[in-house]
Amino acid sequence: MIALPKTVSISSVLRIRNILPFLCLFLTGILQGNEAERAVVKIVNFSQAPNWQEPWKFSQVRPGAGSGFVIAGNRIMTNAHVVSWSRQILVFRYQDPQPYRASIEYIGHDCDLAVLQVEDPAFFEGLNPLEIGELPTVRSSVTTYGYPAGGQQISYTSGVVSRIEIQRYSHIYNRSLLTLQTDAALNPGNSGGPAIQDGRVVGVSFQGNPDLENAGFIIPPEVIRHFLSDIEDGHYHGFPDAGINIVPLHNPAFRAFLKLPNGEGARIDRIFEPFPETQKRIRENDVLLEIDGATVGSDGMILYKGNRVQASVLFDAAQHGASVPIKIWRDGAALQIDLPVYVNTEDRISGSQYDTPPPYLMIGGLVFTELSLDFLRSLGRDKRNADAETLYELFYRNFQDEDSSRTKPIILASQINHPGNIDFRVPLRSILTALNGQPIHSMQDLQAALQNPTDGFHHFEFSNHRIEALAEEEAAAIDRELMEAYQIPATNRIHD
Amino acid sequence: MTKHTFIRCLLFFVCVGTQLDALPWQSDKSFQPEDSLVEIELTKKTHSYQQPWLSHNQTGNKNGLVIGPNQILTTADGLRSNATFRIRKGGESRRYEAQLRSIDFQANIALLDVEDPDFWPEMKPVKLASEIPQNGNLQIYRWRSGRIEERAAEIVRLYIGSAKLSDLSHLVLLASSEINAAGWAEIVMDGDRLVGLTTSGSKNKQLTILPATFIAAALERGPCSDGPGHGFFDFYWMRASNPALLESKGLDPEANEGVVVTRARVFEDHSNTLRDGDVILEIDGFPLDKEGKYIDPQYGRLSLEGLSTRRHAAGESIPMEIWRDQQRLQIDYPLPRADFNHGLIPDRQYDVEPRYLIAGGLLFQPLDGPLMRALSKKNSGAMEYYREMQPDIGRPSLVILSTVLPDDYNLGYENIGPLMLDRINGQSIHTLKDVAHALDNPPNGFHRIEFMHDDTLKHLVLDAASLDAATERVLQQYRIPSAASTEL
Repeated sequence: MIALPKTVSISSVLRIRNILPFLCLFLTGILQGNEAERAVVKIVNFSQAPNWQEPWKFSQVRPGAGSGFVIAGNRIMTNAHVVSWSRQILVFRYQDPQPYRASIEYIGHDCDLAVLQVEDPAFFEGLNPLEIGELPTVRSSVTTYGYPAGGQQISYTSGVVSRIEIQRYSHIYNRSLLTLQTDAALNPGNSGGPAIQDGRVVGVSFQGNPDLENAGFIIPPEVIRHFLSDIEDGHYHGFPDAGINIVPLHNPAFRAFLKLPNGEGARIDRIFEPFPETQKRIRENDVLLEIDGATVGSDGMILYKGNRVQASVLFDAAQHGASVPIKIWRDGAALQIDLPVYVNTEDRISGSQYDTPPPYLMIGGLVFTELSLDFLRSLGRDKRNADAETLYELFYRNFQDEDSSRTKPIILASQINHPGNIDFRVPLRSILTALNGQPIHSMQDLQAALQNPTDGFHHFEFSNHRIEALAEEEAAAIDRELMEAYQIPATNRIHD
Repeated sequence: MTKHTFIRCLLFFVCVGTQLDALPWQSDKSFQPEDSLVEIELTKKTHSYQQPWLSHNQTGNKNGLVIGPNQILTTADGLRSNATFRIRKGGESRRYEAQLRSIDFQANIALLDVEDPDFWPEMKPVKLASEIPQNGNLQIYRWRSGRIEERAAEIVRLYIGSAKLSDLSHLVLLASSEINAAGWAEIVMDGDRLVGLTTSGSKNKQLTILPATFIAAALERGPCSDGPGHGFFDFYWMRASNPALLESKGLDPEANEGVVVTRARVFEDHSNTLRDGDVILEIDGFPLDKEGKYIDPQYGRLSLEGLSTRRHAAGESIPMEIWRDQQRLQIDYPLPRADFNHGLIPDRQYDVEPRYLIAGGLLFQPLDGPLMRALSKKNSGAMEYYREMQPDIGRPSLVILSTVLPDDYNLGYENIGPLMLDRINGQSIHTLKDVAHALDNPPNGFHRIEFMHDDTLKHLVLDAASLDAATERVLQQYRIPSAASTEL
């Protein structure tokens, strides 16, 4: 399918009366095409991200530009990453120099989508919202609209849908959802702009891959609709997960061991923590035969609207708390199960975090915070050069049990030097395992243990076996001095 | 020539002569390197850890020094027991076959012998220095293209460092020199005495030297003499520099003494007399300062780690004074023997051919440092964690499924691995023998393999009846001589 031309002579269309019904449809498309660019807006976000090593601080204000488009309900849809950590958001209409103040109404970091509202109702005057279309087919053409870098005016690029499959969403990092891949050029600033086919939005441009050529990625209508449906109750929950690791089941011996009669079905190798409802209903080595009526192949894929994609796409389609009907094979027989799916918030530290600045607690100038992917990145490191313990704590610890999956490792993030703590000999980034004899699994544990020094000293124990101490009263005095000297607003920020 | 000219010439030669005598690099002519220094050619068999059934030849050259009758000293670095050795002496082209008499990878020394009596008559043994100079200049010698190369070296400092091939702590001499590509047992002399053998060279022209005093001690207590072996401190410690920490333990925060034990037992499962949190005040009669240094009577301020090899062998007890529970105590610390098999994932292996077992195309290998270095980026995060942290996980060692050689039998498993084994057919797996034994006992016609809970896959099932036939097929297909390494 070819993208609609940007301009078409209406008079030439009207002369062809005998094909009027078809032309009306065509004309509607053309008009929508023209309307589309009017509904596309430029977004400028002035943001301040937190400092993960000195968590009471924020970065300097940084301007960033992206795109968005008007949808029903006087809302602007864009990417979450376009408006993250915002202090002020300005939106600009098509060929209109007037800036309008906007604010985030809902934001979904897991699916990299957000909707904005604009204070001035005049902003939406004369703008027709874009409709969300259906999942386009592979090889069909799409046109992207946006305000990418390199100029001030709206930009259009066209390409085909080259692939539809589950991909990692880089904004959140530890979530993968359905994605469209296109060869249409997508550049910084395109983010949040619509991909349009037949006058309807079939995706939101959101990420690229520097390792690939001519490959941009678009959030498909299924994910957009899920987000919009989720916020209907006034709260965004997120995309749920079944908490299972589905792996291919090709080996004939393994299939015979499981007494499987035919070639369908993929194996559930592991049940993740903490998914207590899944733990109750599913066992390791159950074979997933169907999800919501769709047959699961031995490769763990289903046929989804003409595309073979990972079966988990059907769990993603459910809303938080809903039950998904599945058919499994266990002990030589098929079973029908309704599996409740939930949004997992316990793995937040292994993904990028937003909206809430990091927690911290200062004791005698020693600043403790949660170990997190964001903290790791703040050191200029990523998975490739992080130390083994950090990676294990972030990505493997929750393989062990439910308690471990709820554990949030607490690290020594920074040490503000003071004559009273200058000889505290523990390397930064050490993981705190106990304070005053109390095991530490969260910031709340740390806060509670701080209240119970046994002998006038705070005793620290770290995973690298370092032990240290600070006199209780002196630590408090150090904190008072440092707060004044470095304008630290409080000794702690601990979220519920 | 006028009288004045003659006097000027005389003065010139006197001055030059005086300067030459004072030149720091001039060697002691009582030592003739060609009488004692030899060139060692070695050819050894090495293996690929990723295809452990394959081997290839590797050749190399290094230096050796005659230190006694039928004793040629060199470093163990780069040697193998199965290597063949040839020795050249005096710049001659003739090569003498040599035999490895003993090798000590922990201490990084080896002794060679030449059985051919023609080799020995002109050779003069060199004595090892009984004390290592702490400043001044030394001479370095090696053979190059049939000629002796002599270089000057300036002593930088003495310190307690780790051995090149192990974690032994001992005295190390650091010197600077213009010599290139050193580190292969070039001899370092002070006059006619051996000060040490080079163990490494760096781009910033600094050489690390294995001191003769440590060599002498290692020859007495190590494998070269069937001695008790080298000891090491099997505990971690930290500086006790924080006054609050000392005060909390009831110690004087102003006193400059002691280090804090942070992990009393790291590898050894011995009855340890130290406990976590003890403050060590003295080791072997030497008071420790809060940075973990003691005053050595010969070499001054050194790290306490050196006391593990200074004058004790493995198995001996070292007296310590410690602070525990608000009181000073005298304890005897039994010095554990250094062993390359220590730890959940032993970091180094020498003189050991890679071990493996192939079953149905699945390649099983014991997990150790050389294998992990060979697998490099394929290692899982859990494997890296276990190697770095050496946690106590209730098992002494680990075996991995390192790769799968594709065959119809293992269809669907081609891309898995490396994965750490937990159990096979219900039996816990710690060694390759465990794997072999477990595979002999399939419970119900299937082999059920379970991987460690924190690895990326947990379960795998294979057909039991066709395993042997599949193994044979894989061996033929991939031209593998044996399904297992020799010790199995």
